[in-house]
Amino acid sequence: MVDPLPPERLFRSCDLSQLSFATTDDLPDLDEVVAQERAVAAVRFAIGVGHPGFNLFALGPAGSGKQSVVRQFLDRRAAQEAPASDWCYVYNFAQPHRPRVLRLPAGRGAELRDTMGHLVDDLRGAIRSAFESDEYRVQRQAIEAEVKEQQEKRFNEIQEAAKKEAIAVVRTPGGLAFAPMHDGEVITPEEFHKLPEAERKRIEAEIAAFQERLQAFLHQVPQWERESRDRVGKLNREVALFVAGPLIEAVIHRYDGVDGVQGYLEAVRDDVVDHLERLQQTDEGGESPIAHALQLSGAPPAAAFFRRYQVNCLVEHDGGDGAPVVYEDNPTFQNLVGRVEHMAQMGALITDFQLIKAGSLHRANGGYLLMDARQLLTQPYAWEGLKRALRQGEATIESLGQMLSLVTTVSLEPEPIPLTVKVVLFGDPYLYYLLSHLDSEFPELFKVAADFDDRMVRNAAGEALYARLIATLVRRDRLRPLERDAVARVIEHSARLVEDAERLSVRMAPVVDLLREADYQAGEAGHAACTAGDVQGAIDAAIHRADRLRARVLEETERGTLLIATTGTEVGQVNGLSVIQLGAFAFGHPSRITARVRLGEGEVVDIEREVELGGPLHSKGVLILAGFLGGRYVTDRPLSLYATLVFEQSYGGVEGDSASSAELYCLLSALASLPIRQGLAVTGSVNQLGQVQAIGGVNEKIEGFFDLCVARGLSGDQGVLIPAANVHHLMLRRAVVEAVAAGRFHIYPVATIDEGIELLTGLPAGARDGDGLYPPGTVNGRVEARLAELAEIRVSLAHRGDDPEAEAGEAEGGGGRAGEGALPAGGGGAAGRARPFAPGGRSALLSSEQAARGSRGSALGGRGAGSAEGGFGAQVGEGWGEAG
Amino acid sequence: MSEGGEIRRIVVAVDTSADSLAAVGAAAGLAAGLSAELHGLFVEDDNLVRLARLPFAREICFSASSRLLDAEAVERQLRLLAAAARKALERAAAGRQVACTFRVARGQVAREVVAAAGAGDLLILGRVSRPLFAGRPSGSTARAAATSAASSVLLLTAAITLGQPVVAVYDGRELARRALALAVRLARLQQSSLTLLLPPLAAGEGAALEKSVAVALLATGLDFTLQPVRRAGRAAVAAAVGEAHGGLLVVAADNRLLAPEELTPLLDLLTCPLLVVR
Repeated sequence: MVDPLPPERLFRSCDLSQLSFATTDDLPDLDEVVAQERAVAAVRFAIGVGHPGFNLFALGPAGSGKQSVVRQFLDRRAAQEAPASDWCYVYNFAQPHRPRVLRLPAGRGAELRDTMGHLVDDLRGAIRSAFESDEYRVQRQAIEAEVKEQQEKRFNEIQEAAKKEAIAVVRTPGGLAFAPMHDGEVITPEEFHKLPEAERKRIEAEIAAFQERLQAFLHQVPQWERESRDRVGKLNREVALFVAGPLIEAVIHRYDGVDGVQGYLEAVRDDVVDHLERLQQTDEGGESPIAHALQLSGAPPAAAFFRRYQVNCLVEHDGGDGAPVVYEDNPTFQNLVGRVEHMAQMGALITDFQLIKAGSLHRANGGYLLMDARQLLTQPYAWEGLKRALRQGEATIESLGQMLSLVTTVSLEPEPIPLTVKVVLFGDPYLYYLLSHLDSEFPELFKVAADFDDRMVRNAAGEALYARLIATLVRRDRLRPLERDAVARVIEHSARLVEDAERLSVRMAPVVDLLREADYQAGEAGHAACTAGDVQGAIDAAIHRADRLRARVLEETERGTLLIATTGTEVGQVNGLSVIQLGAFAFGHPSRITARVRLGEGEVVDIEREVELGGPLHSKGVLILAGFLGGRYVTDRPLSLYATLVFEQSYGGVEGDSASSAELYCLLSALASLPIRQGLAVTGSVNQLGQVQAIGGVNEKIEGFFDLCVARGLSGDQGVLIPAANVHHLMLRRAVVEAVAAGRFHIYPVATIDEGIELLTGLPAGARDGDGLYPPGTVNGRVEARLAELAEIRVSLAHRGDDPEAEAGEAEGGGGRAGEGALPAGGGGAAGRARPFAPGGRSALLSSEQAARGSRGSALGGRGAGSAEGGFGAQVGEGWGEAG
Repeated sequence: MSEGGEIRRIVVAVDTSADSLAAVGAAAGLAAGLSAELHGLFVEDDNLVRLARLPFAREICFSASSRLLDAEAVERQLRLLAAAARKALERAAAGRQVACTFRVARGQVAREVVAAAGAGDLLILGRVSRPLFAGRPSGSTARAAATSAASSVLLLTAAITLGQPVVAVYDGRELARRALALAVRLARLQQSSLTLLLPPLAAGEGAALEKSVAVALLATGLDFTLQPVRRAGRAAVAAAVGEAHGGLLVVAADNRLLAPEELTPLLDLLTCPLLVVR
């Protein structure tokens, strides 16, 4: 018979003698990253490799400190790196819809922006003064007057020559005409016809000649005017270069050696010269829509035009902070790749290069960009946008409409910016494996995975390190220091969080929450430093805030709504244990499992599966039972039973195989007609060899049954059978440990089904003797005898040609005749960590609540829903694939 | 200050040139401000009509192409121009709620315009009726009217802009006083300031003139500036008008600036309208 565990095996206390400090104030800060050597090496590797594609995916459970570790590491690294460049967008004078990009050393982008702002002011003043000066006016008037005089002179020559011939120039509605004059008036047709023919011909010839001269003159006029404009233009350019050239040259010299800036400034100079008249037209707007809009909105038109000479400093650095480390909290497509904003003006949307806004890729260029993978993937097209940028090695600013070719209206196409950024994504492992499996580009773009662990080894050195970590967190959050025994309590709780007495949790988020809550407790109690009592108070308070449903389930069990026996014995009935997870809070609760057997064809029917309330792991566990029975008993004859197993009062789903040992005990009890002690509850999965295997949630399960026993009064012979492999996971509540120490409650580590059935029935399990038979008074002997009897009946029925199924009632009655009665199906509960079939925390809560309500509802004829998942694998694994 | 030289009838010579349309708008505005009647005149150029009837008459367009002149076509074009002129005048007059008449005369344009001026107190016309080339500043009709019309003459390039200062040349003579009175009225009408250009006189004479006119202008309540002109002549006056950003130059008809040989160069220099006061 297995001995119960001594109390010291139920809870591993922190060795205070190893903690040589009074409070956490005595401990130095911890700079190193705790227990993440593998992940840190990966981070260091990803940062160190400069080639494309070596971006980092930091995977680990929530609260494992991925972000803080990576951030801390990157901040330190980035501070030692060269500062990133500034990036500016400027007007493209050749192609206004494709703004040019300029790369400048850190700090010089903003300087260029300010410089150009001043330059524009200087240019405006200088050009206005130059073109309003008397010197310019005189020169321009001289040119225009020269052309005008030339025109007048030539025209007057024609006019005077005609006048000498008594011919005048007459203005017509459409032009000019020559007319013979007499006494200052045009000669009438009658007078003309009276003239001699020779005279008439002379006049006509003269007029024709003058018409030719006039036509030749008019041909010349546009050319003269063009020449005049050219000369004025040349003058303007000379004047403009005279005043603007030195101003721009001074700026050019300031940016010697900066690629692109010199060319841009030369383009500015040329553009200023080309648009002098526009620049002087202070009452008219510029040519761009945005300038026009600014004019309409009341801005000075010259200012609107000079907007083209401004600089949009897209990304600016002050040059002293090293490489940028940017965390994008809202990684939408536009927030990532940048955007071109528009202004609504007169019903139209207009834009220019000044409205280009940077995305986080731009801000992080030359450094590091950090994002949460789930947030990134849930934003439409953000993932595609990021991949495209990384693939192409440049950041292209475009709208979704442009990217998807949905919009064909003309907008800006800013020149792409070369990208050298290291991207770090944070996500849970499930997401990482999904991406690896489903996105062929992912492994190419995120070659490095930093896999963060959620636990560390608990030994003396580990506890000391953990104490320093706690001290660091306390100081970081400006909390009260913790006394030594408070630190010990936190360490113990940390072990409980990972359900392992030999490990500590490095998911620091719940630990930090505990520290903050303990600080609150200490404040309420007026303590200068947190005591162990404050920590325990915080733990108890957190449980109390979350355990309404637990209390409700316990209450309904006490009231008899949920049928759980904790005393006496029953045949074919056992107490299984399940865990219900409500968000961050989990609690255990016993479930009644029953079994009934009769003659059949070797079927062990899982009723949960029949009604589709059992998950695949649970069904697997039940099917293993048939394998166990078939392999152990009456192996020379067909298994001739029909057994049904059911989780009583379960109205939701059942998942996990941690109930399989309980179900087997129950089945054996029914077969052997041996009553099972109801003061014991059972958890553990079983294999076909009858070995009991580890399960998850062992602490909650024990405490769940313990709480019910305490509520009903501890009898002294109550306890829980757990897999022996789970012993090192025990970190039980103090009340359980004290009850065990007082001999009022017992925890039995069970390695085999035989060990367990002996505890449950009080009879020896029995082993095959030299003849290969189980002794008759043993459990195994009775089970085999029963199965042999069923096989005999089946064989005899077969010989009679009767249908065994048709005789089932008789066979069952036979069982009754054997003194076993109509087997009241025994039950044994089991279950690992609860997990509803429907995904999502909300569903979990609902189904858990429904489970509780269902228990009440069942008494009223209602129906509830709930589910539980068992299996050690489900606890340690990351998903369904690893469960079981 | 006496405001003699009442203007009751305004004659405006209308064609469809830009200057002329400006003249129509300004004439309607002035007529409303001065409570005067408006009489429009469109002159069909008799020389053009005669020319069109000559068998060899050809028209040279500004594109340098030529075509035969058709008498009927010319008559039709003149009728259309007259109708457009009438419409422009009537629209401007209706806008200002001014009574107006319109008539079409046929003859020599300058002669008809000058003759029509005698029937009114003020003749308004554009400085150039359809300029031949860009920059050609003044036409023969405008020059003839400025020098020969019996009434005051306003030569316009664009509408008188409200708020721009009125500039007047004042030498203290009788006609200059009438010009000053009219300038004061126009400044009030436009709610603009008045700049008075004082030509060089003997020292004592100049000071006395300045003092007397200052006293007179103070009584008007106008915002005014007295601006002595150091040198006589059109260039100095035109420069002073430019410096004052003048919107209208008012000159007495007997001023030497308007002598026939001076008028054309003065008009070439001026960028604002010119009002010749008689």
